[in-house]
Amino acid sequence: MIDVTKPLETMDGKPVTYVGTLTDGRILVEVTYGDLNLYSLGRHKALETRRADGRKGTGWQTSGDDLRNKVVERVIYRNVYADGTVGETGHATEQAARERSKYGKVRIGLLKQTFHNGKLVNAILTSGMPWFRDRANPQGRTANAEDFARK
Amino acid sequence: MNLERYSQLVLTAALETIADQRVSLMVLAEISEAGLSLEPFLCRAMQVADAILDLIPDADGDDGQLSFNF
Repeated sequence: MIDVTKPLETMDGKPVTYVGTLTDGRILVEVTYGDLNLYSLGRHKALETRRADGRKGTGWQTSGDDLRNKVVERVIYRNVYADGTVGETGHATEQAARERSKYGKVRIGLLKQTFHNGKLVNAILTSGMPWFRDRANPQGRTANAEDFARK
Repeated sequence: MNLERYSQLVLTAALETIADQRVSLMVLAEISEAGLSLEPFLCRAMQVADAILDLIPDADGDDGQLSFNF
């Protein structure tokens, strides 16, 4: 059974809107066809049915028109510090992470995590110029050896 | 050795530890040749590796979940 309470799309990425469920269990959906990148060119909507599991066909074959729950991608950025800790806060943007590194710590890298429907699918560790922030200097500055030696 | 390079090597060593459970000789040699102590370097790298593994338990698998971008 496909979860119709969550966003849907076809396997090849066409937008789908759930309309209702028929008495025999089939799902009624509105599928948007056409190139979404071209302004309304060849774009149209069609009311169609799918099996309860989201499949279009009745046999074993799969189709690009089968339904799936839309992949919701979420990317977060965490600061990685010289003391061996990783920031608890997942920032929405790289810039936000850079601007909000923890006071009194030296940031030596960023960990970018990508989630699809809440499941971690990718992580990239990026190094950068060691950066230090504290109350006296909330904008931060390039870290020095003394900052590095802090515990 | 400047701090930027040192930081890169800490992250490299951490990722090598996650991937292979060892730090490459090239990294260790670069630290040694710079006249720096290996112990605090490895300590930092192990801590970073532990912190990342806490967040990404499968990072040491072969599914390519964690990659480098230096």
